Amino acid sequence: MPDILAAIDETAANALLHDAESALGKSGASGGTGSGPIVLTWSASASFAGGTTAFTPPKIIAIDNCEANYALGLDLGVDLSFLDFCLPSVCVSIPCIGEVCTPEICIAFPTIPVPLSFSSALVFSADFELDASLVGGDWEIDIVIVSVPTLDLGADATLLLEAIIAAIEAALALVVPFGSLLATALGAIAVAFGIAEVEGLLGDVLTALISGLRFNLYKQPQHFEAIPGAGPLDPPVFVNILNLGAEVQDAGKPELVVSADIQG
Amino acid sequence: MSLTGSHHAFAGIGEHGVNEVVHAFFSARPRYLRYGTTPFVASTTVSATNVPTISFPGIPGGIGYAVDLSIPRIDLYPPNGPLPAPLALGADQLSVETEARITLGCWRGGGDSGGDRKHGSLTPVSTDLKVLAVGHPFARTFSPGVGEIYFEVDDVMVVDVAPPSLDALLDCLLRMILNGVLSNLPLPFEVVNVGFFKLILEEGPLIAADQIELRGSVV
Repeated sequence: MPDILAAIDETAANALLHDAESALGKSGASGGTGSGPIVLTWSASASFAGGTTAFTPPKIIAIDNCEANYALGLDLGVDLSFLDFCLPSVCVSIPCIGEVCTPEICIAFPTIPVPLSFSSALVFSADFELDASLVGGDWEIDIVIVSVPTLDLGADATLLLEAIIAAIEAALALVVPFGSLLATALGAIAVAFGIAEVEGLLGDVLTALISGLRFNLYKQPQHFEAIPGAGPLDPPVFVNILNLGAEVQDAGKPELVVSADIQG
Repeated sequence: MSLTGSHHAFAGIGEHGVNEVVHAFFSARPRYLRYGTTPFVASTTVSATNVPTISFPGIPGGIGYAVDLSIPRIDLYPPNGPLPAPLALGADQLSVETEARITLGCWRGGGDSGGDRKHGSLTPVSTDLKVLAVGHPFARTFSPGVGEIYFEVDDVMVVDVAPPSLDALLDCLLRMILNGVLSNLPLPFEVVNVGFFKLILEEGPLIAADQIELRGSVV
């Protein structure tokens, strides 16, 4: 029998999970991609809240309806070189003067930067696996996401695409002087960067944020302060946590059970 | 049967774990095992506690004494072995075993010394006693999630003492001393679950299957 047994049911685990979500704060990721005339880099952060736990022996804790609140910063570069054109040289013969030619005039369009911020929230459910280990002198119990779940990105992708188009349109209006050319540019961009590309982008972003997601449920020093000090005559009392394990058990009621052996 | 039962959280510490904490406590704070009047213990330090002498008319400076205890060993129900009658260990009880050395400062002074200690000698006289006791745990809670378990002995037996009246006297003395010592030994809830959660106590402490058990909910 271990020296210490501590157990919580799913109700109590919900409270510990929500504490762990708060303690995690924001997790971040960044990346880049491109399609057609658009090259973009992104950075994103997410915080997590809510959700309810369900235990499956011996190691799985499922979290249902966890809310991921994410913020996405996009730096788009729209390469307008596809709009480049030249007015050819035109020559006319003028009596008494001879042939007069205009110079060839070329217009080169730049790559325009389009910064954009987008934030939203996504609810997901996933299985997490218990991981108890000694890390740098601390005993830790984490739950680690087993795999990235299928995410319903449709609504967010639509909103993000609308935001991207509006931002590009505003930026183009400053550098593309002709309405017809503007329409051409927007059409080309829309073909290259549509809803499928935005869903792909959001998929990359959220996968990066959720992949490897780890909530810490427990962290205590191996050299554990059992009784705090109370002045010079009563120094703190320590015990060593020799080993520590965590597993899900079901003896009529699913529980997360932590076992430990100590040494005084 | 689940550990939490009808509650949401469970914390249990086994007999070996309890004795490890007890060992750690008295190793860090040995002054709770060693008590003595001056000159046995000159002043209170981490190692020993200075106590006043027992005042008695005609004895200059009072009666000096010292009490030294070994680190108590706790046995949680069910008992590891039989206890000497009339001690018996029942459900939710624990036994405590320790060795006590009681030393008396035996003063021999000249009657013509005028009542001061400069003329006389103090000779320590000691007896070693094996002490067994049966008691129970109880809890004190201070705020939601913060509480401590303490032990209190109810019956004490000092082994191999006669006549019965002296035995009864020593039993009473050692019961008071043991309870005094144990009142300083807290077992925080946080130890019983190695800091996994803050327990709001709803049931316990109970003792079963060599384990102290607490049940409740988490903060």
